[in-house]
Amino acid sequence: MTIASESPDNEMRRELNRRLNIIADPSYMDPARTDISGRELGIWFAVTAAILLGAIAMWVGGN
Amino acid sequence: MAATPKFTGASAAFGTLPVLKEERELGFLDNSWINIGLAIATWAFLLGGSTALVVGARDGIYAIIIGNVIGVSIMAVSVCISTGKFGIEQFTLMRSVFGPVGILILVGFFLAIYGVGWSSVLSIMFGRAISGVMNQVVGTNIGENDLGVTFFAILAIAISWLLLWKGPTAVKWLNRLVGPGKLILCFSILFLIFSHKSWSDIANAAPLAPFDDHRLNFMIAVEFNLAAGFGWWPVLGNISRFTRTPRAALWPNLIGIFAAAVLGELVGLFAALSLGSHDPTAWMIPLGGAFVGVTALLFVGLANITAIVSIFYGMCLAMRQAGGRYFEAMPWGLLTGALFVPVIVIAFFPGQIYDNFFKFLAWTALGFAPLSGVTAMDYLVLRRGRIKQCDVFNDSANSDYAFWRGINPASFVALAAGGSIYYALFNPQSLAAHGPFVWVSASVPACLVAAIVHYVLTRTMVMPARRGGY
Repeated sequence: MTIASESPDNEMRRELNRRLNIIADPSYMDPARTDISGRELGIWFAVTAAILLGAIAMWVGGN
Repeated sequence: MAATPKFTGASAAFGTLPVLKEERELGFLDNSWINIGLAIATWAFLLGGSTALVVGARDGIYAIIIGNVIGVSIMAVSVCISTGKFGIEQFTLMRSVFGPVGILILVGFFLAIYGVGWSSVLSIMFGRAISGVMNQVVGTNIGENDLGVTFFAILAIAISWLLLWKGPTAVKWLNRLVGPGKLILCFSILFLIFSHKSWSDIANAAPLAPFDDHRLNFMIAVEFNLAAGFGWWPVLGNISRFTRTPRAALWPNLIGIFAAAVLGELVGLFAALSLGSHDPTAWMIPLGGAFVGVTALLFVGLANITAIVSIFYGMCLAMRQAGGRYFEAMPWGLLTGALFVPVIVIAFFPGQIYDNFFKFLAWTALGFAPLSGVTAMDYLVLRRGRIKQCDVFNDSANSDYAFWRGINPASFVALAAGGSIYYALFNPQSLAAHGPFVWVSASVPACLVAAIVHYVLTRTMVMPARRGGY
């Protein structure tokens, strides 16, 4: 991988630096770069836990 | 305003750079469809067939749901949130957990075993599918472990290598045919099963090769499906890095990977129980007759080629990325060809590999369950979602992620601890269970122990030494 190579100035390194500079700009807005909220993570685990508990309850009921 | 420099780097290497907003092409629905396409594949039939070895239909349904929902819920938060946020190739981002040399070890050893193992299983499945076609059409008599199967398996490897060598665009065209075809195949198998058998026939069918203990059988089935859920770890991060929002990175895993995989595995479970074989290549002709069966087998063969190429493409990209200057000079065709050599060797032992697929699955869970625990703990709890992107690409000793000589010992000790717990509870080779396995499985404790050990070692060893940029 040429980005990580020891050569300090190659095409990949220049392109990487260009991208890192863009991302580091405080005015750069990318919705994907916002942190996922704790609430959304909570909902994620609540939904998956509900599926899990539902399946366990049905298995226990069937046995 | 300065003109944007024209970038002409090789596309494979280009794929490792952080993506910009305009390059993020996947919304919620796009990512869901990709995940559905990945999950409904011939490997889902194999997983369903393996579940049928130890449990019947009712227990199998619950085992498939329980195993997949636990595995997918943990795996998704461990890789998809971070890669979605930073848009950086998964194994580059994981340098923040394992160090640049550490990730090379991880990719070179563990991912290679995973890729070679899965490719071997799929190429042998191709071999058996095409042998079935030859037996039906030409009247040959190729047995399921004969040299003919090996020959066709090697043919699958050769075609996959050519496609991989010529680039992933060839596979994109194949996938346009194979993607919808997989859904049609799934529903066709379901239709054919239920046109021959009633639900009570399937529900009352005995498992194919169960142990004596009912509870042990159920937990082994759950364990196979946990392995399936955690097994998405090396694949999904490099897809979610192209998503447009954190929501689009996370939730499609539940709709696509979980729900679609459950559907595909249920088809495999019901077919295996109805036909008395866990091998999907043995189902098609008895189910659909000569014409439909041969068409379905040809399609299974084609679908396996695209799956092998997809697995190897990701693996070779990761190896080239993680390998730095060691692999950068190696031509793409040579690198991919070299990795196919062990697959060719394994193809000479179709029975030992393909019919012991469930053991391979359990071995992968021994690795991926702890990996999911360590990476989730590192990103969500220890780093609170903060990674210094410049240092992820920095190989020098002054990088935050250089740790000790490029390796983070804490994460590797945690992986070893998780793997040891797994092995102590459930031997993937003999399927012998110990201690509380029948209550808690092996993957879940392995994941939790690895996460806790990583947390404790990072807090007590790495952070006081001011390493890792925590």
